[in-house]
Amino acid sequence: MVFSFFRGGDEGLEHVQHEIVSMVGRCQHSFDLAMSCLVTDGDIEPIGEEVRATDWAINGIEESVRRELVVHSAVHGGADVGAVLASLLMVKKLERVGDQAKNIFDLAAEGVRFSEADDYDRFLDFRSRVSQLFTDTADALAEPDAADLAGLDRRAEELMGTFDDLVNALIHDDGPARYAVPRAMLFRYLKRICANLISVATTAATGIDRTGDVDLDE
Amino acid sequence: MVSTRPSTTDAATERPVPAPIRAAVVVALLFLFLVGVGLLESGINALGSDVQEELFSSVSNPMAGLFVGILATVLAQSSSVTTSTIVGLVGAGLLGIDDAVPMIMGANIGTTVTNTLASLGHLRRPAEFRLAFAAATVHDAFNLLAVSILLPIELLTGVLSSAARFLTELLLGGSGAEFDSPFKAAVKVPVGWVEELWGDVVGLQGTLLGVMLVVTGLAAIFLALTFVTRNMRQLIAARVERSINAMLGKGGGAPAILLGIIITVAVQSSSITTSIMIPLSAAGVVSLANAYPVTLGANVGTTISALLASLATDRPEALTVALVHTLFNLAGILLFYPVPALRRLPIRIAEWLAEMAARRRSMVIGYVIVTFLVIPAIGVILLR
Repeated sequence: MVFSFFRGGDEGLEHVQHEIVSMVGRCQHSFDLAMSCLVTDGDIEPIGEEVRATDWAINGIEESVRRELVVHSAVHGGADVGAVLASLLMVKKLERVGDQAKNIFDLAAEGVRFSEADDYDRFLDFRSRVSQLFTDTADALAEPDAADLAGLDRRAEELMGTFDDLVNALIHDDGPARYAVPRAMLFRYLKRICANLISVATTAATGIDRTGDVDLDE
Repeated sequence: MVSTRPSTTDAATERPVPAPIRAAVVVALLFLFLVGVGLLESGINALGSDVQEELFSSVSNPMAGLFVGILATVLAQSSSVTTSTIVGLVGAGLLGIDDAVPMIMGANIGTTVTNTLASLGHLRRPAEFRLAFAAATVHDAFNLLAVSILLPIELLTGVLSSAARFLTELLLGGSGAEFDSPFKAAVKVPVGWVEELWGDVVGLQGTLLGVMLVVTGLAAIFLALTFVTRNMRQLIAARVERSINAMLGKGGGAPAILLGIIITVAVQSSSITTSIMIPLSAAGVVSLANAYPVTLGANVGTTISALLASLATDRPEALTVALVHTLFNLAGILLFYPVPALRRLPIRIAEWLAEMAARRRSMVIGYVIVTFLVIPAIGVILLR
């Protein structure tokens, strides 16, 4: 620790930024693994261990980033308060994404499988499109670009609209519960993941004043 | 990403100063600091022996000296200012080593008021406040315990001053009455300008000239240290942040003491180092056991100011007093850190004080006023 005083390296918020990008990567890894469990017939237990370990690691990064932000505020005072609050919001959202990926795995652990389902291709499509959102979010964090952010926002909104429609249709579905309930839960998780990712990307680009669930103008 | 870029408004109002310029400013300010010590010495010499006798006869009582040290540091909010002034007075031949040592110890106690005041920022949130107040008062507890043991030992045996005299001889290579400090020679020129300004241009003489030189010297010391701290804080903020983050991953111990020394030497202020620990402790990010060694390091690191001040004088006694300050703090660490039972003593006292303070928050203000103002003031009045 003494030598770290004399060594070069990332400055406070730069290191936090790297940690947040690494959190997005881990969340994507966890999500891809969890979704693959729903569309496979194989043994998912080893994958489950990996999903839980990744979730554990995500929670660890969230805690360490929170500590780093407290240290940053103590050393630098209130000059970066907006950036500190934005970073806190982003790691909280990503920690939730990690939880939601684990929730998706829990569906598979309960025996839910779509490998034989009529709508199997739809799940593959959703897996691919949501996974792409993770990649785009990581890119937006590393190289913020207004046009890319608008595209990301549009794709996320489109997906969230689709998931909402599917959940609403399932509410009125006359089929058996074992058909509707896992799908409704999955679509709900997918929608929350999309919402959290777009919130992270928007916060990174515009700060906390432009994000949040409440629109003060309404 | 938003987190690493300042907002447009911030950038417009506060343009960052390049690091080399800041570093050059710090060097210039350190020179100003030495000039301040030189002016102090020159002003004291101009006061005349009667005034000198009148001013400093009161601190021949060691307890009075201790209380003067506490009061002066509380009022200046900087032990560096107090200890540098004491070194300047010793350099002027006005204070003896034996009179200066209790004052130096008093400065060590007085400086703890700053982080105790910093902890009051958490007063409205009891859980946070308990942690913050404990982190602040562990510094008080350590310094009070160290003084209560080391001052009587020093008065009885003179062990600290003897060791400091030995080191002074070792460093200066002889036991002569004066040594040729190259810094003193460099400082003489601007000191001469100020003397000319007050003496020849303004026309002051005798005691009045001495008073003005002392006031100018004190102002230079205070301003220089304030701006050195401010600039160095900006210069090394990223390094401080990185090393504290590294400490959080590895815990306290000797490396944390070293870290406290390095940060404090760099910013020339133990209050900055110890006050950074307060919000970290309040947030539960740093435990009291890990904040404590950083505080001990800060105590040692802050002695650099007196050592620097001694460069501006010709008398070896000034360096001896500065070394007593360092040795006192090192001895305190040796007394209260290696043995676990003794290490826990200041921590237990701080936890007990924090528990009391959290239960009756109104007593906190009383604690600060009584410990740092009332007792020292009564002590000075009764013992002078």
